[in-house]
Amino acid sequence: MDGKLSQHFTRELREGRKMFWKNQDQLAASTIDQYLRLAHAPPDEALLRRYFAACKGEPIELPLTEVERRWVTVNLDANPVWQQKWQELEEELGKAMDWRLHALFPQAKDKPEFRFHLRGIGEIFELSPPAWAFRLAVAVMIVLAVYGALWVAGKTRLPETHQLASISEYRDELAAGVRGASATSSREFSAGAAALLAAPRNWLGLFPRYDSAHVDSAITHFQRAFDAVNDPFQRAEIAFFLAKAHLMKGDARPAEYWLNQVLAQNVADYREEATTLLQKLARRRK
Amino acid sequence: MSTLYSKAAMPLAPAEKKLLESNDNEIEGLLAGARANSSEAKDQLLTWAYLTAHQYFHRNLPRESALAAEDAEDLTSAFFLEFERALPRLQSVTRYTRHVLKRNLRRHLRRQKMRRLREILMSGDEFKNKTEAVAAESAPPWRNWTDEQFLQYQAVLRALRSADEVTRQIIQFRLQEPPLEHKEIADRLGISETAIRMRVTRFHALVRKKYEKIRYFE
Repeated sequence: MDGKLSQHFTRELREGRKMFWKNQDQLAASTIDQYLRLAHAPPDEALLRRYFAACKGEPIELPLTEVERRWVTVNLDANPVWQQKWQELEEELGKAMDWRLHALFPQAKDKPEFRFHLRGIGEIFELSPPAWAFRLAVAVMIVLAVYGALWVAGKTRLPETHQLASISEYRDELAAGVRGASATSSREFSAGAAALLAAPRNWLGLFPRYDSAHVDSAITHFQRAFDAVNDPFQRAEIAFFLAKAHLMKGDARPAEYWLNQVLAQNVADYREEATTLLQKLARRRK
Repeated sequence: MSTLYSKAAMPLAPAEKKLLESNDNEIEGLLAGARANSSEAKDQLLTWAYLTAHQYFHRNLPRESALAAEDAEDLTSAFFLEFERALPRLQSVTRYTRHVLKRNLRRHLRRQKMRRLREILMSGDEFKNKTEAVAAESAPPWRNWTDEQFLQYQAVLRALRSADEVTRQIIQFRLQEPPLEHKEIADRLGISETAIRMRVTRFHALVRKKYEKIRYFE
């Protein structure tokens, strides 16, 4: 923030703060009018005489209360009608008297510490209400910021196996079905693949997870397909997706078993991927 | 007291009517003029702001039961002062005015609602205290004042002492029994009714400023 901008912001903040305080305890016009009426009322002569006597140090029948002293003090301080009456009394009683001798001014209070209020910020914002386009842009930025924060929060809460279970690179293979398999195993594989493809869930791209019902269904179908075929290429493919399904559930041990089954078929298909996954799982275990 | 805060709309001089009927561009033009140090443009802009606020709050009087004529006057004053303070930094006076008037009215109605709710929820003791306070109303009001109220009264006296002669005359007329209407005061002093109202508003602002100064230990 450059110096000029900072100055501007400070000024706005100060103004906003002032406005906030003023709005909090503003003296209503009707209250001011009531005070004005009292100010214009004729002075209470009896009270003023008692006060005069108290200033002189004379004993008075009815001692002045604190409220009475405050009332007289405030009026003699700034009310010309009362000041004139006091002068008249001085002339009448033939003695100049300092009314401050018995004065009792109302007490000021300690200024409350400033607390930062969100509403205060609102007041600053309202000093120059921006155009709708600007408001919209600000609203979009806020939504994006909240979305970003939620996205990061969702990512940090993900289990390590979640990323390893990703099937985004194998969508084509899953959709194509198992090559050259029997009708039964082909049907089971397709059902398993459909369940596996439907497993990833999220809420507007946030908080990704795998649906356990779909994953369980995929495991059952793949298991049946695996048992129904003898071809090592097909078994390797099915075993690989079984491993992925177990990783979706967060079960590393069965996943490792199925990845080893991929290697045990001794074919090139999925061998490299299985080796990499096994290494990652081994590193994770350490 | 009742005639001091009338529910009726303020009668306007032809020039004021014309000013109120100005379109947004003309008002923004006045802002540009005020920025270029034209005191005439600034005066016109302030008058427009006062009249607009007055008209807005008084127009809402019949439909908002929580809005009294006194409140409308207070809200007008508060807006006028807020407007005057914000004027050097405003980008668009018309947009600002529409926005702040709406916001102030909403805020006022919300506070009124809360106050009523608090009164409904008032406990038995509080109710008793209130009843006692009402019973003691025959005594001079200052007998039950707190230090804060004395300070407020002191602020009023000090503001009155430092007010100019015309303002003091206006206040004198307003305090007569029965109080003179703004129109009558305007006729007697030979100035417009809006100018009278604006002077009263400024006097109220002066009182608040004085009160702010004396209420806390510096």
